[in-house]
Amino acid sequence: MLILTRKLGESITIGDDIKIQVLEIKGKQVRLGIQAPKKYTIHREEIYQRIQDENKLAAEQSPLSLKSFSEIWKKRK
Amino acid sequence: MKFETSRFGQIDVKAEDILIFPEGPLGFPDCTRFTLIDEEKAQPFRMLQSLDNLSLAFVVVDPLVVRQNYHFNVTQADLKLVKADATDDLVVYAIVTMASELADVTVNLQGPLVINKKHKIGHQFVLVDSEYSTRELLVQQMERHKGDAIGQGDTLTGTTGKKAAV
Repeated sequence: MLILTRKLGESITIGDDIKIQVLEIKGKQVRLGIQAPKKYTIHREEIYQRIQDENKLAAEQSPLSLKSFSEIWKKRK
Repeated sequence: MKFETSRFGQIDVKAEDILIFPEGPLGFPDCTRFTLIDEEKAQPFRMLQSLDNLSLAFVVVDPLVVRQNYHFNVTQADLKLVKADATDDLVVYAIVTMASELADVTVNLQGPLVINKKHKIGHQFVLVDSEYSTRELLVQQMERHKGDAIGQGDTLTGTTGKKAAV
């Protein structure tokens, strides 16, 4: 991993079209401004990771019978 | 086209029933082809069966069943991910995580699957700064939000200047 030290207001660029700037530093929080072409989706890593983990869990927990599940669910309703 | 699935045995899928998720659901980048399967008496739940990994199937549900006022904003860039110009042709599903007890079943409202019905293209959206989480308890949510107004606009709302829904 490349590690760079940046001060408030300074930036890094990645390739020709991505720029990341340190906008604010407050205690343990850093606000970053990111300029990138629309084709890149940018996520906070933890949200991305959480959805990925949940997908994997959902894939494993596939029910034996959706029908019986649906019946219990309808009764509940 | 015939597929030998581990859950449903052999299924015959028409070309027009194949949904393409170009990037796959998060964590499943190699699973790009899916089809929706309705099991008898399983409504409102449907199965989203992968056609690339035949043992992979997600239980999905219309999020409006869980939260009657479920909605999120999409930008023009978001719409492009599913090759749509407007929200009209889009349907939204939430992935259900099953559990042995009904009370523990959760719905992922933060990572909705958006499908363009017309072009058969889907994408899993990630809702940032959202009030929804990946683990909303299905039963609890339904009971808590029973009184919510139904049909308050569409699930998808266009945003950022250009209005997506026309």
